[in-house]
Amino acid sequence: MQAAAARLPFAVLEPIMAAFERVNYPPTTAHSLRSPAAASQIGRVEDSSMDSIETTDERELVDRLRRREEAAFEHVIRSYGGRLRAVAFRLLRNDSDADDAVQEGFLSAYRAIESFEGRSLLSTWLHRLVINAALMRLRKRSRWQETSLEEELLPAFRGKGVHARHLSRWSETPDGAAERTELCTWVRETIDQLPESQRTLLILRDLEELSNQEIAELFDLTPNAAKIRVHRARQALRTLLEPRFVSER
Amino acid sequence: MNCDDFRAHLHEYFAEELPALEAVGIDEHAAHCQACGSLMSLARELSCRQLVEFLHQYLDGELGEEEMAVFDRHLAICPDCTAYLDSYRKTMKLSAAALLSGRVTQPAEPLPEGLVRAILEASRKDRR
Repeated sequence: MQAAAARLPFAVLEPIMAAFERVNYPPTTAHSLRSPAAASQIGRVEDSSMDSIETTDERELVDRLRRREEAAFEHVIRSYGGRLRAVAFRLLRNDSDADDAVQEGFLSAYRAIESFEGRSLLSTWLHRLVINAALMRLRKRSRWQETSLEEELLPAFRGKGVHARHLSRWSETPDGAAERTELCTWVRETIDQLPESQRTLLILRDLEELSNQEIAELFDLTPNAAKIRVHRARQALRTLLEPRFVSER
Repeated sequence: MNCDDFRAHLHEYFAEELPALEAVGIDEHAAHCQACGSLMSLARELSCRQLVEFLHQYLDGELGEEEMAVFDRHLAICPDCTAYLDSYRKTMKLSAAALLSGRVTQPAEPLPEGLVRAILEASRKDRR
């Protein structure tokens, strides 16, 4: 686990996390994650400025974690654990693997708290650690390497690079709420049919809202290679979605 | 070969599926007809494969001005790539909408008590 925590270049990731944390964990959300009891536990002082409460709370909490105070660690686990477990479950689709990833993520945080410099929110940092733990589990699965299926889902060309077949314009997506809900459910099921690595990339990009740079760090790729992987995952999804939007000719 | 025949067979020409004699007819027509010659130049400028391969950069505005213009010129003459671009954009929107709506309909539950205790216990072992 020490090695796992060391894999993440925190100094590189932190400034990037800071830019994205407002999307993932807006201040009100982070605040609402705390129960009143938990807030008093970490010595929260009432203040008219919400931002300064957040900053003071967070800094104090991190200091207590650095002192290895179990109550502070427990507070962090209880505050963020549920949401982080949901993140792990979405990636791993298995209760016991999700539990393990959450545990590994929290232990990585516990061990590496010294390297947390406070340039991102603690919640954002934990989010990345749990994702990293989940990715390590995913990589061990046999479905991770499905290069032949990945190839099949890419667009096909012929000769000097023209489309292998003529493409039709897709029909419009429905306006009605019920139809849209049904469509979203179907799209999620379709995403689940993608090769595991492509499904994971779409979840990280579109749901967890990681940047290409962050994905590059997690997958040990150059930013450009990460962009290409995300592009291919979208192309693969496009291939699977196509039959629904193209009427038979 | 007339202009209509030229246009009708251009896709097969670039797919390299035209019999050799007809392919020569395409080349000759392009050499003599200004309009079809321009179309041929545009089609040669960028292949569908290249456009699709770098589509994400086009959409993210990461291409240079001249490259953007080349992509735009290709899209103006290629219904297949135009359809691909449209469907790719729809795919991006649908993927984000579907995944985010899934998160809303499945709110996070509190961490099971057993797991909280297991993490704390593991951290204690770690400290020892």
